[in-house]
Amino acid sequence: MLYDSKKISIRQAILILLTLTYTPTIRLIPAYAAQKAKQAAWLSPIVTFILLLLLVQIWQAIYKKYTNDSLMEIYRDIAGPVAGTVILVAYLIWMTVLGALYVRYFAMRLVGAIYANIDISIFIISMLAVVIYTLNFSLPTLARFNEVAFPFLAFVFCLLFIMMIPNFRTDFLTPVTARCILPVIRASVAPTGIVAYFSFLFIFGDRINNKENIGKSGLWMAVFFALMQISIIVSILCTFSYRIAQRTQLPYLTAVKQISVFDIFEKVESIVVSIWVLSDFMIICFFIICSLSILKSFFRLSDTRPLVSIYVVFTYILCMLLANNAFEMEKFSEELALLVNIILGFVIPALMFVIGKIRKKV
Amino acid sequence: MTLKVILLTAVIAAAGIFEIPGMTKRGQTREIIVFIAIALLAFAMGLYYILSPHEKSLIYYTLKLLGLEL
Repeated sequence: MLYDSKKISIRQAILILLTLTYTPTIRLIPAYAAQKAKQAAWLSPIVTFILLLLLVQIWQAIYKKYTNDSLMEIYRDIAGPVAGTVILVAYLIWMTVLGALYVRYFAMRLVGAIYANIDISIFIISMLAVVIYTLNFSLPTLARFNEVAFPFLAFVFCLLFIMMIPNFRTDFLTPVTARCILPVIRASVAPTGIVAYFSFLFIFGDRINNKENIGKSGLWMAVFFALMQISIIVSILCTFSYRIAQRTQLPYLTAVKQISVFDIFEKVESIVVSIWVLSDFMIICFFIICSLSILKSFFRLSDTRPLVSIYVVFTYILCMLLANNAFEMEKFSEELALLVNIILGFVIPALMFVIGKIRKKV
Repeated sequence: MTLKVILLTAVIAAAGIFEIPGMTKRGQTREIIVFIAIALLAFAMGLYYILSPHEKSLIYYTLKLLGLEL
């Protein structure tokens, strides 16, 4: 594939995905998995790993035929213009909701974790100002920024895991028996709902190069996801046991607060908050890019950059209307968002693949 | 409340003043229409948010509609 300065490589796209999933992973997966599978929660990412490999193969097969198309063009071609458009409206609504939801989560977490009694609008407006500035540049700029940020995030994550090891009690991870299989499958809804964002990458698939390498990069990504998710769940379960993990809000942050290296190196939670903000920034940018890309496809726009500022204002208002408290947002994420993510990220691509096979389009 | 409405109008108007002349110059009629549609939607939602501050949230109504208890 020839190099195009307006496009990013599949490797860069996957790195963006790895960075942005960090924030929902540490917020949602540990408590959800501990609730459903108790001490066996750490096995749930294995189920997700298998499903993600299948999803990667589906997209690999789809992109053998549609080399330069986006998800919107693929769906319209496979399902027909009417059915395709109906599905894409659902995608547009969901991308808009997720964008606003993550803006709100970003601010609520800062207020909940560090800056108590501060108006969330201050954080939201600051973040959205940076988002507007960044999105006025092209997607490759964001991808290159992420190439610098991701190693930092991965390094900090590994470092924190190593520093948490002295507090670990490995007996909190057992017993694991055959009776845990069903609870583990139920617990895998959370990690699966988050890795489903992989499919959303192809909303701007026309701006991704080397899609013939999805299989190879996808395998690497699935391994990384599995290791990251298992490490996060293990670090929380081994520190608190599942009983406390399932009841704690932000258990990862609480586990990091326990870190103390020879009583000298303490209070490292500020590092977590900084990489959290980094990941939040990426996820907000990602969903805004997705929404604008769908709008571009619907209305055959030549450029979406002039729409960034007004769309961000719209996102701000939507995020304020979306929820009144953190409890509502958690309930929404656990009861509805994960399910919709799985439907839009796993089920619909699989359906499109099957329909494409029947209609000999894939 | 009045100040908030003025602020909301000013922010949306500022975005329009900043972006619309460029789009007009480039002949991006479709972009202008989409911009105005988003702006109107944002203004209506913003107005609703400001005028009914103690109203239940969208998540509350969604979960209630789906029969999920909060």
